[in-house]
Amino acid sequence: MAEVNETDQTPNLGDSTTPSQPKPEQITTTNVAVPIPDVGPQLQVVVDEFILKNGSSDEEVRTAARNDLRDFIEREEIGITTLLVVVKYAHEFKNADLLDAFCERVADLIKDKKVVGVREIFGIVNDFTPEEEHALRDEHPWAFED
Amino acid sequence: MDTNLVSREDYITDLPESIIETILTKLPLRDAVRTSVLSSKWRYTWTTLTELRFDDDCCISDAHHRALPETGLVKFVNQFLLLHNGPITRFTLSSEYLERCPYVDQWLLFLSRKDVQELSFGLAETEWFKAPSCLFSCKKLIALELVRCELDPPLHFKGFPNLKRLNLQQISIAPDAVETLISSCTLLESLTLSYFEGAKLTVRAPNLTYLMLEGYFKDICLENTPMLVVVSIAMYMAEAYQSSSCNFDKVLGGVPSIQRLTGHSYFAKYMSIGNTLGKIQPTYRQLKIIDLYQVSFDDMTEIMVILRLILSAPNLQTIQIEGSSWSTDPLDLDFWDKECPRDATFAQLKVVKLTQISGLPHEMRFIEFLLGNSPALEVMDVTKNVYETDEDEDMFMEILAFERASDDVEFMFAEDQV
Repeated sequence: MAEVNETDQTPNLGDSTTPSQPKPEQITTTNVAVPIPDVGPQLQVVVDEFILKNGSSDEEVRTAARNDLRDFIEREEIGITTLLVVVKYAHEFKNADLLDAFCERVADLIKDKKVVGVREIFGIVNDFTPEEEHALRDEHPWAFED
Repeated sequence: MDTNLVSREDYITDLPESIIETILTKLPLRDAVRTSVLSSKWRYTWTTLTELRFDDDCCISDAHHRALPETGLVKFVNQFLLLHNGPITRFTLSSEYLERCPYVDQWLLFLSRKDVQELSFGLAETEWFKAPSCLFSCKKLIALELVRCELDPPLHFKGFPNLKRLNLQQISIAPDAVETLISSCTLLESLTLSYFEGAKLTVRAPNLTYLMLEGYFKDICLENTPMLVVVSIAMYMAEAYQSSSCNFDKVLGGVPSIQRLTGHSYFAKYMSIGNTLGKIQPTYRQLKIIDLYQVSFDDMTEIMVILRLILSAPNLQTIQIEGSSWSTDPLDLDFWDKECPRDATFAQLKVVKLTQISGLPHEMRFIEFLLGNSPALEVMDVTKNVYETDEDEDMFMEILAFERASDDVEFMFAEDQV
């Protein structure tokens, strides 16, 4: 499968015009357990259970599994690092539903936050000069109106 | 703040691009665009999003500014599309404020060149948007949803070759044009027409599995729809019923695989045209759920439609009927003793749910018939209309006294104050 290389993820408009490699096909979620290093045993258990239930042919079981996972993630306030580790491994093991659930959580942490807040949460270093940042914000004033 | 919730190191920026896109796709576009300022590596990540949704939440500015084409949503979309890079697979534009303007046509032209696969357009109510001809050159379309739109397919238009889902709501289109549109999209699986004012419609769609029709229909014919599984029809035209050529066989004559049938408003009335109890072909082996609204038990012909349906569905599991009956002075009451097939068995019928029942003679006979012929029945749920001066408690007692073929029926009774 076309796995996007880690080095490939900085689209640079000035550079090649070919779009990035085609996304890895969204294969139907596998039921294979995703052994994730560096996460606590509790989360591993929850993830394994999710994968198992999500493989059910009964739609109600699958929906319940997704809701349970979502509730767990919110309740336990899973740390950023852990969230991203799971996201990365779900991607690698091509488990679309698991990836989806955790990406949803990451998105929730970005939603409605000021840029400064997002940088803080994710440890992103701002390498723009104040002028550059100002110019960028002016490009899309509506996005930055608060 | 819990240190867990803050990361000292940046693990997100260098994730594979497809993961970043998955995350950004779950954000409202405003938040996605804001990520451009996070750091230089994030500057253009949002520009390769392939699924875009523009709606009134994209720009929270005051109502005055929002309505002006130069500001607000229009400007946002224009700038976004200008900077966008790469294919767009899904595009949604939904605004109650945005009226028709030249930009909208330009956006559609832009999208037609981006191989868009799923398109959803819904603008303000004031003036319907006339779809430009470039819409019809979006050859890669798999799903199309249009709200409040004038459609005038060009003469040479041969259909959307990949279209599987079509949803047209409050659309103005010539009757022949909509029929041709449907039949020329040979892969069509799901069709929804709502607030439709076309009166007459013939559907030819060999791959169609889901059909929802709602509007002022007078004549519906499902001419070539052998794969239909779910059918939902609402017919609002009362007056034209007398002159209609619509009937049971034209609508339900060619749907052998149907699993779920829903009929609203005057549906039962239209189905009754030309119907007799003798006809119990075709058989609907897959039909499991029948859901009918505003059925008049005063009208013998409508009762016969229901009976024909349930007698031709050997695997029926659920019947839901909302009544709409007034007459305490019924005609043809002896039908139930003379013509109704008393030895019929509804072997799989498990759930019966009746609402807006008044305890009228035909209604009671119908309930009696079902109770007496459904050996697997588990639930008989009846909701009664109660009028202010009504003191009649006997209806539920009478039902309980009916002979029942199933020992395990759970009766659920309720009253609705009218």
